[in-house]
Amino acid sequence: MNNSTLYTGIACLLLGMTSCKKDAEAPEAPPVSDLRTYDMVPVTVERIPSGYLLECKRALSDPQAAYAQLLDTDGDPVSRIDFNNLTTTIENITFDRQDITITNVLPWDGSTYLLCGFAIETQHEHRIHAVVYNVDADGAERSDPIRRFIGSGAELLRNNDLNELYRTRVLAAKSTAGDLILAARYETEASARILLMRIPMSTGSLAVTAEVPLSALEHRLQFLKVRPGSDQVLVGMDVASGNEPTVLGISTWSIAEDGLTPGPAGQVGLRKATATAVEEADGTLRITGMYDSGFDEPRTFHGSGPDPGNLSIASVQNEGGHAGISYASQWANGAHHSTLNLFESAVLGPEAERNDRISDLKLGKLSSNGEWSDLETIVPGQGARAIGCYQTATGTVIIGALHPFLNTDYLHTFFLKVQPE
Amino acid sequence: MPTATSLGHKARSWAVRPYFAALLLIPGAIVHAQSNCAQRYDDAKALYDSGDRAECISAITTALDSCGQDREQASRLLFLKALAEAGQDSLDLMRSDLEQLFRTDRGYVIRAYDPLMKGKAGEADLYSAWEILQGDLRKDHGRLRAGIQIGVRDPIISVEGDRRVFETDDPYRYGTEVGYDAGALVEYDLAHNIAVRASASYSVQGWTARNNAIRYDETVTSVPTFLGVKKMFWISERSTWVPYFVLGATYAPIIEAKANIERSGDGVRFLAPKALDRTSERETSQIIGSGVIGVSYKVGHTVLFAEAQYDQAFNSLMPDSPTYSETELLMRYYYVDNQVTLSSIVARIGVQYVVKYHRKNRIYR
Repeated sequence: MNNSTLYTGIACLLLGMTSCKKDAEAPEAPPVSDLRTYDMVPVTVERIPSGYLLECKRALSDPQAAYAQLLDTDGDPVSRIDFNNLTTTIENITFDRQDITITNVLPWDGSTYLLCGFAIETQHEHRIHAVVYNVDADGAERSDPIRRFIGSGAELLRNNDLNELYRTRVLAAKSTAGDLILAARYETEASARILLMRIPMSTGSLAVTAEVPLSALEHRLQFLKVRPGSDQVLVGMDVASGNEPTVLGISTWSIAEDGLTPGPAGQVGLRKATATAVEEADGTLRITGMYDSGFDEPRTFHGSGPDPGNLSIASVQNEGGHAGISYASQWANGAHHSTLNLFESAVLGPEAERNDRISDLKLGKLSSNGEWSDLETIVPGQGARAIGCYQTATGTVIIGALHPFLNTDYLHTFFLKVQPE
Repeated sequence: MPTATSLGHKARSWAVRPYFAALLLIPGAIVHAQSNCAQRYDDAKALYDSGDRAECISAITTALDSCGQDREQASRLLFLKALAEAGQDSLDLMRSDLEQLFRTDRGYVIRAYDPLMKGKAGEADLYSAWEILQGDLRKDHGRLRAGIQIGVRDPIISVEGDRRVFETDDPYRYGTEVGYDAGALVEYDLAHNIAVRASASYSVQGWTARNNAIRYDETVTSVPTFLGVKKMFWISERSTWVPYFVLGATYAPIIEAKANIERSGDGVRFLAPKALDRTSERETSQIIGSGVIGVSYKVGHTVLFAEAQYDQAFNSLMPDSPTYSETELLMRYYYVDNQVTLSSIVARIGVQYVVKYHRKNRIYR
C-alpha cells in the first residue's frame, strides 16, 4: 500500500466517503468484444457458409500447410482435415507421404472440400503432378483422388516472404459451370511456369490446358479467381515490367471447350506488389496489397476498376510515414473494409515482418483513391497480424496470427470480434 | 577548579532535577487526592452526624466536583448525600443522586441493616427508592457513541461466464484472499433499544483466478460507508452484555484495483510476471446489503463490541458489458476477466466511547 493510497483512504474516511471518486481516467477501451486464440499456425483464412476455413502449418518453420481447421461463426473449432492421412496412391502411382504437398483447400459444396496440391515422384526424374482429393469436413475421402502430370525435374524452393512456403503451388477455383480450375506453378532448375487446367466435373466439358511461362525463377503465382457470372478466371502472378524485375501482373483467361484463351491483362506496376485481397463485386474489381516503396519499405496499395486492364492504382499513405500493410480486406455494405498493420519504423525487411510483435492492428475503410476513413486502432502494439477480415451481423471478425508469449519462434491464431458501430 | 565542560554537565544535571521532582510528586498527588476525598467524606459525615444535613449536602456537592473520578469515594459521598436529602424530605434530589450512584457503580448494594442508614431520618424513603430504582433503571450504553473498529474481511466470490482466451487453457479456478477492514463508527439511539449506525472504513480484499498456466491475483481497495439500524437486546438488567443485530446498506467506492499476473514458463513463454493497475477497468463503486450480529460490553464510559458482518454485493466488479480492454493482458498473457462479484464476511472488534447518555433512560431528572 503506497502513501497516496493510504492518504486517499484517510481523506475518504474524514470526508464521509460521499464524494470520493477515483482519480484515474478510464482509458478508451478498444472495441473488441471477443477474442480467442489457438495453438495453430495459420497461413490462409477463408469464409465459408458454416464459419471459417483456415489452412495451417504444423510448425512455423514448415514450408507447407499440414491441415485445414474449420471454425464455426463464433470461432469455436469444429473439425480438422489432416493432410497427413491422405491416400498416397493416386491413379496407380504411389508417392512417398512427404512428397505430397497440399497448397490450397477449395470448399466444393456444402459438405465437401477439394484439397489441391502437388506430388513429386522423387524416384522418377522428379516428375511433378497436380493432385486433387475430395474430402469431407473431417478429412475422410469421399472419392478417389486424381492427378495431372505437369512436368519433370521439379525443384522445391521457398519464398522469402511472410509464410516462407514453397514457391511451387497449385491453386484451385470452381468455375461458373461447376468445373475445377487449377493453376499449377512449378519450377525446374532452368525455368518456372504456370499450367492452367480445367478439370471437368460436369458432363459435357473437356479437359483443357494452357501454359504461362514466368520470366524469372523466383516469380510467384499469387492468386486464381473466377470472375463472377462469367467463364473467365483471373490469374495473378509476378511479372517483370520496365526497370522493375517484379511487379504484379493480372491476366484474364476465358474458359472454352477448345481451350483457354487470354483476355485483358493489367499490372500493378509497383515494386514487389503482392495482392493480399482480390474481390470483384458490383462490376468492380478491387485489389489490395502491399509493395516496396523503396528498399524494404512496405506500404499498402489499393486498386479498383472494371477489369485488370483498367485498374486505377493508389498508394495508401500511412501516418508518420511508417511502414504499413493491409493484409486483409472485404467489400461489404458499400465500403471496402480493410485492416492495417502499422509498424513502428519506416523500414521493414521480410525477417522483421515475420518477427513483428509490436505493430498496431487497425481497422478502417479504404476509398478507391487510397485514403483511409474511420480508421481505428483495434489492438495496439501487440503485433496482431490480420489474415482475414469479415463483416458479420454481430460485428467485424478478424482472424489472424500473432507471436505468443513474446516468442517469435511460435505463432498462434487469433479470432477477434469487433463490436459493430 | 571546575572546567567549563564539568560546569556544563552540572548545569544540565540541575536542569533535569525539577522533572524528577515532578515525577516523584505524582504518586503523592494521587494519594493526596484520595486522602483528600476520604477526608472530605469524613468532614461531611461529621456534619451529618451533627444533624447539619444542609451543610453536609453542600459539602458533598462541592466534594463531588473534584472526587467524581474516584469511584469508591464518589459512591460513598453520593450515598451519604442521598441519605441526607432523604432526611430533609428532598425526595427528588435523593432519587436523582441514587441514580447517579448507580451510574457510578452499578454493583452498589444498599442494605437495610447498613448502620449508616439504620434508624436515620428518611431511611424508609431511601430504601424504597433504591428498590424501585433497581427494578426500573435500564441498562444504558449511551445515546451517542463514537469509536473505531478493525476486522478481518473474508471475501466470497461469485463468477459469471467462462470466457477464456487461449483454447488449450483449462477453465479458471477462482479463489479469494483474506483482507482487512479498519475504520470509525458512530451510533445514535433513536429509542431505548434502537439505534442508527453510520460507519466508514478502509477495506482491502483480494481474489484470484488460476488455471494450468495462469496465476492472476487482484487486490481491491475500497472505502465502505455503512448506514443501518441497530436493534439491541437487554437480556438481563444485571448483565452488562448486550447482544444486537444491525441491518443496513453499504456504498463502497473502489479506490484501487491492483493485479499481478504470471503465465507459467515452460521454455516457450518469455513473459515476466506483470503488475498493473486495473482501477479504471473496474466499477467505480459497489452497492452492498449488510447484516451484522454482535455483542457489546460496557466498561466505564466505553463500550467494547465484537461482531460478524455479512456483505452481499449487488453489482460485480466489472462493468456490465465488458470489452477486452487490457490489451497486454489479453494478447500477451491470454487473460480475460469474467464477471466477478465479491461479497464478504467480516469478523470485527471495536470500541466506542459514550459521548452522551440516553436522556430517556433517566428515571429522575
